[in-house]
Amino acid sequence: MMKKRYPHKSNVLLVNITRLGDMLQATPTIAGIKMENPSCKITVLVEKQFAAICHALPYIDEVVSIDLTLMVRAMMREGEGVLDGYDYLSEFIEDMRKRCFDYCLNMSSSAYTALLISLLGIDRSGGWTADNEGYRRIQSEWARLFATSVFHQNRIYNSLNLVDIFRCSADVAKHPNHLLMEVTPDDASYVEALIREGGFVGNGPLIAIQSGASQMKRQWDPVYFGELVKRIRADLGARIVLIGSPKERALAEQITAISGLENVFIAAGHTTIGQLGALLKVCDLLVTGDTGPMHMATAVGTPVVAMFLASAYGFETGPYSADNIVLQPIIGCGPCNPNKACARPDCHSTMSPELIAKLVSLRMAGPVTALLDAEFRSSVTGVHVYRTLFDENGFFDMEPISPGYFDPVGKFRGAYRALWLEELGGLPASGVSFTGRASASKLAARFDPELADGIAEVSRCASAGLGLIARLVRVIGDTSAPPSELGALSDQLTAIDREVEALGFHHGALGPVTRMFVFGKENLELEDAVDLAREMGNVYEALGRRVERFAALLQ
Amino acid sequence: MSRDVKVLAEAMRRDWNRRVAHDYLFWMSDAHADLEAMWVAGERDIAQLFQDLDLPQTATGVELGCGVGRLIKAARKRLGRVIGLDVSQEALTKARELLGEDDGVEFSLGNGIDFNGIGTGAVDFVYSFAAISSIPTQVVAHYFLDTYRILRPRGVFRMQLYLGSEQPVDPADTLHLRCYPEDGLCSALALAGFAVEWVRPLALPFKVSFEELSIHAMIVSARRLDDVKLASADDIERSLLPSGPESSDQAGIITDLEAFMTSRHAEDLYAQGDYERAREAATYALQVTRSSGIDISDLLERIVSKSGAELSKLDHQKIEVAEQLTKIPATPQFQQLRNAIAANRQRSSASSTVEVRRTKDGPVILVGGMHLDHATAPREAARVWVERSLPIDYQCTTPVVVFGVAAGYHVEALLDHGVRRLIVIEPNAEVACAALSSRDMSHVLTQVEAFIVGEDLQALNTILKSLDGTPVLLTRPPSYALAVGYHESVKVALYREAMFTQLQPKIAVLGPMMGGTLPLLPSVGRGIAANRGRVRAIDMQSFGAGFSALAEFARDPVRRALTQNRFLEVVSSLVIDQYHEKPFDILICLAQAPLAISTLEKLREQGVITVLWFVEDYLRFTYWQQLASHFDYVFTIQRGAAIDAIKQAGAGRVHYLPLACDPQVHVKQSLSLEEVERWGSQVSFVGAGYYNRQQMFAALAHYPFKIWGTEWPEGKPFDILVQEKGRRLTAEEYVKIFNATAVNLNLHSSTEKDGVDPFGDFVNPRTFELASSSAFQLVDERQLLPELFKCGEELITFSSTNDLKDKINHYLKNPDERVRIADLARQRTVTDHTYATRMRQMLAYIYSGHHSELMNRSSKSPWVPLMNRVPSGSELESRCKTALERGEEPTLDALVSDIVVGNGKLTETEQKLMFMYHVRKQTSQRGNAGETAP
Repeated sequence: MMKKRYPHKSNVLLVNITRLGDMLQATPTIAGIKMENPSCKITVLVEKQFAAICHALPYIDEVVSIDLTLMVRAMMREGEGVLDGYDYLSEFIEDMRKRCFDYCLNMSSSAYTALLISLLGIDRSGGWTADNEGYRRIQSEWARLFATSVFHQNRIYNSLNLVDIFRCSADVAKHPNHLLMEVTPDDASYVEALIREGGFVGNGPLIAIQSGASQMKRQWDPVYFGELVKRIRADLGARIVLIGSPKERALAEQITAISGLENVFIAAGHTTIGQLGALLKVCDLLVTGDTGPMHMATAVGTPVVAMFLASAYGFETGPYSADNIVLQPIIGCGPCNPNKACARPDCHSTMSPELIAKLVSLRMAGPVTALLDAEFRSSVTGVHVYRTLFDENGFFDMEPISPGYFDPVGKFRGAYRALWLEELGGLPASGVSFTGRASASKLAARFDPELADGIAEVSRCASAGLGLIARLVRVIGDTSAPPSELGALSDQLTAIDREVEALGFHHGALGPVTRMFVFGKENLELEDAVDLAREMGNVYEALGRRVERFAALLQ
Repeated sequence: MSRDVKVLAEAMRRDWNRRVAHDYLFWMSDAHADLEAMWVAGERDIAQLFQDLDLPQTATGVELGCGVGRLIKAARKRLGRVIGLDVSQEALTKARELLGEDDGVEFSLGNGIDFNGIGTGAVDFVYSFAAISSIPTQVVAHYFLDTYRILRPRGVFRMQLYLGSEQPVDPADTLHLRCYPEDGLCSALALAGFAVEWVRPLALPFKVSFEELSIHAMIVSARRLDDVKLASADDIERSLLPSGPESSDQAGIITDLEAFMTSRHAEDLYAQGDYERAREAATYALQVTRSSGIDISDLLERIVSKSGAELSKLDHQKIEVAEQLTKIPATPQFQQLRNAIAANRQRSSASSTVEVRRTKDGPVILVGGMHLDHATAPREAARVWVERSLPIDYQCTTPVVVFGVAAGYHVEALLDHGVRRLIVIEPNAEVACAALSSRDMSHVLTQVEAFIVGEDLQALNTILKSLDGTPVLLTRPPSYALAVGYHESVKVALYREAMFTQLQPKIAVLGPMMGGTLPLLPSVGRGIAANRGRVRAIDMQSFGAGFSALAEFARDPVRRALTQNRFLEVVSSLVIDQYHEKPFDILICLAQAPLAISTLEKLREQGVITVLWFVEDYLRFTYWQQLASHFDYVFTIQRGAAIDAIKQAGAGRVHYLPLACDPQVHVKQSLSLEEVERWGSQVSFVGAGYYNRQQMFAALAHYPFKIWGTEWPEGKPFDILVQEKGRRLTAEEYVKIFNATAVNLNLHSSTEKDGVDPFGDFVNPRTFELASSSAFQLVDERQLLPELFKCGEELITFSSTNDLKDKINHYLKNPDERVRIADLARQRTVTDHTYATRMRQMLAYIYSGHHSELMNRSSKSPWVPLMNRVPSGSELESRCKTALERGEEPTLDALVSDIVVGNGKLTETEQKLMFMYHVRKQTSQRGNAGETAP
């Protein structure tokens, strides 16, 4: 049984302002809230341009949109622009306050959404908010784990899909094992006509390709895509649909310049979001990067072969349904920082059109459960190939199906997965994750002595912190104690906190557990000094407990 | 054709009389350098008109629009008899004067409609050059018909005019260039009984056609047909203007062509150094201008400052003052007038330049030959002036201050216009006497609130104190030209407080790359901010090291100078970049600021008001000579000869503005024992080792004496006196030394005098800095010191080495006296001599000098509608106001700049602003990360 903070909800606001993929990824959570609170009203707040997609998502009672583009344009204007933006915001907030939400779930880490929740005055929150002094606050430990896991240094140690972390932040245990999207009959008819228009020959599998990506560095070379089209057309007699936005049409044309137009139809720019969902639904498979259409495919039940290039990280945002294939480059610089551009994306060449074509053929034959055979040995170099699945607790996971590669981080990912499920979810550790299974004995033997020192240091800090807290509680209660004693204790605690944080930076693998500690310290909110001190004590106690449990799980 | 052609004719007469009276050479000839040039140009033009013309020597010709006879002289060589016709009496009088007696030349005063007085079929040839294009089309049509009448059969009509694209011109305009379609002209001439023989381009040695506008200067030759049925003038006008005069009316561009042309003319004359004619042209432009679009006042002021035409200094009077005092109401506000008039009557009147002349409207007054009222129709001119000068949105209860009363026609016109609250100033008491003695002004005196005579700012300030709101200042240009300095003071007095709230121009302060002026930059910035100025400092200090390094790389003096100049050009051009990044209205340059002339001029082209605060000895540093004319304002720390010299070098306005202290930096400090030990001494001096200081301070070696600063000799006794190897100190370190020292010495530098410079005038910054720091100082005597401090009470001066020694001895023994004097000095300094007070003075000059221009910019500021719209009394309004008061614009960045997160609960307004701020930040980050789609 999963631990819950606010099991009962009646009027929920879900803030998911700026991304199509994020909105789709929230659907298991939305469905879960409804399943667990059937009479609950769910309102989603999105940026205006994404309002349309929300109407295609089930279990949403109301969609409210905010026009941030309009606001930013107004603010850029000299003079009255700033007032226009201010008035727009004021009206918006007034309107939102009338809705009297009793729970809010904001999983955007942006400062402005946190401020927005604070302005709306919603007390119960599952994600980010701001306190009345303007600091960001994260009430839920799951949400802190979200923030910890996306902290760039920690990303590789995380094997929990953000969909699950998000879901747990909202106390959702029951949920569908895939994303959700509804296809309207109109969109289905449109797509039927569109495919007819494609003039395909034969009845080969209908395979969609999403070639564009939100960042250049995450976009596989169109030349590779062209080669891929040629191969799957030859291997499977496939009918190919090149999907995408109007802007991506040019990219599709580059692909057809290589592949030719035989049995290839460029649908990019010809579909709305809803129609794209309908199109993906009738396709047999989608080849894509980590994109919005990838999530859409999982929402309409279409399997995907997904290439996680550059900053994309499969464990974090992999296609949330079972039996998809995910490729993750094995490269020193990946997954890279999403906020940095890359002039030389070497990770792209770890995936050849030949490999992708083989995987497409393999997946078309049915779900892949066994390791790839010898046929793949020559083409699977420098890349991990995974299949997606759900564990016994209903959490998404990925199992390697590529043979032979040692994954040095796998053991840490597994340990952390077990740790957080146990600590935050109250769920029994299901053993070390699949990623470590292949060479578990090797890992134990190679246990890093330096890391062991780091664990001991963190543990010592936690004990020291606890000791200081005990003294702090005594000094607070002792009216005769000089104020300087309080100050000295505070200084010592600050020094310990800095040391813990430094240890987290020094021993990368300790980053997640120390970052959770930092978030714990930052988010203490009690006003009574003794209560606050005790709560602080809990944070040190949790640090000590977690770091030791982490060590145990590693071994 | 509804206009009365007689009205048009009258307008032509009035306008051309005025123009000829102003400057006939300018208005009548493209070659207006002198008379000879005009005749030469006349010969050139007549040759073109007479080409291929076969007329007997005895032929009679008529010139339509002959003006002052520019072409008549040349035409007379080719014709037996020439009749010049013009509507302007002034022009014909001048023509007769210029051409002298000639039986073959006659002049006829036209009525603006026909060749009245010239017989039918009496002439062989009619011509017109550069006249038809300025004549209202309706009048042209009438002349075409009458030309047919006076020409003999087959007679020739030749005209120079403009053909091409029809131009929108007010039908009553008498100056704008009219351009007719060629077809239209040919039809019009046909309707008037002419056949066009040819149309040829006019060829002159300068540009006369404007292809880009489809305006072509042409000569048209037409021959009179016989037995033709003539059309009506209306039909002819319609042919000339196919779009009709109504459309011209609608397009009706009313521009200030006349004022524009004369102001340009004035600029040219100014550039040629002909200041007297330039002044006349600029004054004329001011009188005829119909808009505020042309800044003639500035030009006039420059001209006046050049020509030194302060004609108001009249020593004597020659006009008998009648018993006007009895007409002045016996109320306190007229006491000043009574006194001034009475005082003026006591003065002798041997060489007064004030005179009174009669016109049909009554007497008008002249000073030094210049009309203070209109020369012929003062009443009508005053009415027009009032209509033109009062702001469009003027409300009759707003007080109006009139500068220049003269004979009072303008004051009467203002009262007639409904102005209720009027204060009048006549800067010249003698003019006021003349007015009161020649006209009955009792009706004026009973209706105005005050009548201030002479240059009496005290009286004006007393009156202004009783006014609520800022009055409108209306200035009579001739009176202004006679009392420029006083007018400036009046403006400062008038706008004083309001200027600092109403005008909030963007001000940039440009600092030097290195040198002693460096510390002034932040202090000046703070001083401007204290006066609600929106200021930013452009700090060039980081280029100083690079500039110094050039000397290491280019040792040859010539090459070094060239390289340094190139470096300066580059650094200077960065100021332009700064301007483009964040435009400013005013640029205040501190002495030694790296500014090339080209940069200054580029900034001025953009409308930036350029200011130099020259805080150096003008005799020692002379670079102002090259730069002065490129600054609108120069402020100097010296008076008298310095101001004259800088003016002479071409600076627009030059004012005295002494240095000051910054109470934020120059403070009284409590020092620790260690600090006193390190920085303190019985006697100290902080400053560079100039020649006179070396001379004088060598004699003080026996005192417990510390010298701090650079450029001191290494030899005795300075090897011991100079501290910390003569390194450069920071301003904070100076202040520690001041505070830790019993007797601070302050000797103004000189590179040539021994000890105290007996003729030293300006006061150095150290004087104010020491005083503000409550540090006791002995300072050398300076000419300008007594007007800044009470010497002997607030400051103790010395005149020689021996005097200095005596005073050191005395004050070392009397610490209480030191403390008392230092406290007085501090009080005086922080009250009167801060950078805030100096900047207030400086800005008052600039704001008043450019008041209307800055007001205009301020009203067009995008922040005005914002402030009008933001809810009154709201926190947002208060934040906007705070930003403006800080000198910033209330942009989102400015509004969030003082929100401190984590320092107590944020208000709702703060949270909203922070929300907006973060939304914008995230948007820009999204852009920076190279994302293409969400």
